[in-house]
Amino acid sequence: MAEQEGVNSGQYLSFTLREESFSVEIFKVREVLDVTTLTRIPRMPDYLAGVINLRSNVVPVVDLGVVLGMMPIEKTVNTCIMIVDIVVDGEELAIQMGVLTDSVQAVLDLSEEDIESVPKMGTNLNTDFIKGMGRLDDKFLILLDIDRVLATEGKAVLREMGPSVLSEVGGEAVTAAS
Amino acid sequence: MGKGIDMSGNEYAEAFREEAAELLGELETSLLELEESPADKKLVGRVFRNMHTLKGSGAMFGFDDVAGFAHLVETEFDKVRSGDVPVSKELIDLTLAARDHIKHLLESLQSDDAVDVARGREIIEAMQQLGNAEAVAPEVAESVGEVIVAESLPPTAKEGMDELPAEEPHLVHYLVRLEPSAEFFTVGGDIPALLQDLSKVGEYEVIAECCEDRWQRQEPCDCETFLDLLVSTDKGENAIKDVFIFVESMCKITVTVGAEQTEDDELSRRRLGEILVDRGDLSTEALDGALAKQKPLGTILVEDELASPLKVESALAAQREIDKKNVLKTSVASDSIRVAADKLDRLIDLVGELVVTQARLTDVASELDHPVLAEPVEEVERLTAELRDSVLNVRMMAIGITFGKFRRLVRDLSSELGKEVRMVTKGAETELDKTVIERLSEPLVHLIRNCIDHGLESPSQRVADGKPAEGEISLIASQAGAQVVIEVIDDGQGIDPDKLLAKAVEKGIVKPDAELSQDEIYNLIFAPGLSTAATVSNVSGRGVGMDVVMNTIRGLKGKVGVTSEKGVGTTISIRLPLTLAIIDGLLVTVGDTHFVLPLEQVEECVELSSEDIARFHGRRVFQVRDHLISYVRMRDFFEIEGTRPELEQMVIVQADGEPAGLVLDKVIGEHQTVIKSLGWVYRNAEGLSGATILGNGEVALIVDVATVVKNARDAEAALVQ
Repeated sequence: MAEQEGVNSGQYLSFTLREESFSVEIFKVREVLDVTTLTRIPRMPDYLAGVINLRSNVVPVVDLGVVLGMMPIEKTVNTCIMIVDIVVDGEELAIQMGVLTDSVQAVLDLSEEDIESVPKMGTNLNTDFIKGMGRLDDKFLILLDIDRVLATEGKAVLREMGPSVLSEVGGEAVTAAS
Repeated sequence: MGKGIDMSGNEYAEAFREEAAELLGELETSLLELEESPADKKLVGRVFRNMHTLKGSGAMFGFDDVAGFAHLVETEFDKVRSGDVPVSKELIDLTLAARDHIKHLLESLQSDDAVDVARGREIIEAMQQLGNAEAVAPEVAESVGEVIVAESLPPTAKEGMDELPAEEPHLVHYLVRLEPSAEFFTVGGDIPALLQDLSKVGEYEVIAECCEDRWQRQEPCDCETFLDLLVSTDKGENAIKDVFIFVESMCKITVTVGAEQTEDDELSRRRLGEILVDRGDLSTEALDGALAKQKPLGTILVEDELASPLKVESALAAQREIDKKNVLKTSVASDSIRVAADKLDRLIDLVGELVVTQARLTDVASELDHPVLAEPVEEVERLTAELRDSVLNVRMMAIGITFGKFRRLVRDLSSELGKEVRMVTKGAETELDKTVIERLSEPLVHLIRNCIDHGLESPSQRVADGKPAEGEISLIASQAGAQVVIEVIDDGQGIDPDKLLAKAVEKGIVKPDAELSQDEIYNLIFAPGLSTAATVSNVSGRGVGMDVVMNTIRGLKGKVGVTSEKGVGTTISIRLPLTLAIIDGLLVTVGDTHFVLPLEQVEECVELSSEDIARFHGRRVFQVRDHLISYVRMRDFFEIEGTRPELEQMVIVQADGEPAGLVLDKVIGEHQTVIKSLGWVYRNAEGLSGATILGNGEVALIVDVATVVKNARDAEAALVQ
């Protein structure tokens, strides 16, 4: 299961979705951008927010709020796009993808004792997507396995396997995906 | 250069391998051509030269066994060149086998496979038997397959090349002076028409068009005009004279031979002074002194009133032209260089970015609307477009380079399967992107195999059916608009739709009660696991080939179509987009979203008002001149929110050979479109083939017109059911 798979101590980038804190390993993040003009691709599921122009490259952007079964992200001054490198099965190169978040917070150093294993239940999230729970002072943040979150989601939707794979994720994402 | 140095791992070895692969390909083509026209000395020369170059560069890069073998083959082939041995099927067979052996030798160096030395020896021995064995020194036969030390070979390939017959046509320059008489003009002689005829003979240039001072005469026809024409042709003097045959009586025509294009121009044109100095009859200083006194010939002639200044000037111009041609010729000699593909890709990327930036510049300039800015911006736009086209063109290659390989395939397969096949190729000059050509090779091999194995009947069967015993396979490439069409046509038994459908039902690919159109049935041949061949041969029949074809062509954004007539033959046509990088597009909007329609597919733009819609009672058809055109509303297709404007625009496009309308909000204008992939995430996006970046940094979506129209049509058809 997820908790066995090397939850490493190290640097994490924390961000928020609806006041809740999440984080991903810092090496997955290529850069953080202010929100720019997003071009929606028609006839695509809601979680695919569109594409942006990143220095003359077209980069797809995913609404992490929808993916994780929350509300779609509303644009504010704090809204950010994290550009991450995703490893997808069967693709040779890492794929650049943008992730829409409510705000990007800080780079954290987490040691092993700061990281708890994933609770078996109660997170309302597919535990496959979680690497662990990081503790910071008296707050917890969810350490996401961003490869799985994005790659699985993409596949699940585009291959129209939809709901069965995502049933743990939460109602809205399922609706969006199906 | 000795055999002790192992260079096979370094970059020179890589360069040699590339060169060798090219040479082997050429060799194959030449041999197959030679088989068809055995008397062609040029082809013999080409084969010989290929072997020779292989030997020379092989030895230079330390591939001694390749060089050694090539040397032996060359020795044998030399007898063909000298005419001692006739070109026969056996000889071609053996030389092809030798070519394969060299290929094998090269490959074995990379993979450490054992080389079949005995095979090489067999080939050479057979070749020697074919040629008169006494002409060959016995020890040569002994050393077959063993390493020949490079010292025994000519040091470079170049040295040996000189003995070879020149392959280039022998261009000769002629100076033609055309002096029409007054009569020529009075009977309505037409100089431009003559010049046009002349252009069929060879390249020509009008050097001077001079006349004497008799311009001032009252009679305009009698003005002693004359034209000096410099003609370069390989067809000889008579061909030029033939052009003027009908005006001979009215004109004075003089044809003189100008500079002949030979390699030793410099040798033949030595000057008197130089020769005298060389022989020691004159010192250099004395020569210089004498030369200083000398006036240019032209000046002397004019001074002595032997020639008019104008005529001298014309002659000097002719001289300059010839000099220019010579310079041109030397630069033509080095007409190709080898460039790493990734350097080219980088160049194309950069041009892509330049195009985007230029679009932004144009936007900004039109906003500022400053007259000083307008002109340079326009210039940049023009230059960028030209640069784009030339850079993209660099990657284009003629598809003909792969044809040789298919000829070989046809030749080998037909003898293996006991069928008589003639292969016809057309459109070898059709150009396609290099990567596309490379990836096309495999599907074409499958298609040709299929033609020979399934398509063509056995010779006896064909005769019984009243067809010639020899079957024909045509490989035809052509360009149609923004697409390249490649057709593989056979005149065999055709596809039996009933048999095919029965087989598909049997294999569970099609449900027994499914109703399929003729086209859908033919397309079943691409379904995986389906083969109508009764037996599986090592050529085909396993039912894997055709779905490979389909997948590869789809991967190249192309389409495959099948037409067939039972007993007459089958045509498989592949349509591929011409370029995969930059296209001209028409920028349009629907709501807030920008779309680009490939301009090649756009026919015209018309307006669609609410009255027009009312006139057709909301049915999605519209009358354009005499035709009814059905349309797709992009707002509906792409599910874009918002209300549509009162006056919509309709762009009429070609989709699958038929016009259809795409209705949208606004047409903005032409846009140079750098195609960006939508990426893995959106790889299944419907009706879109990519994205591009606009001048203001926004992203516009490139519409896959054919898919949009087809999907809309299918959706409507589904609704009917």
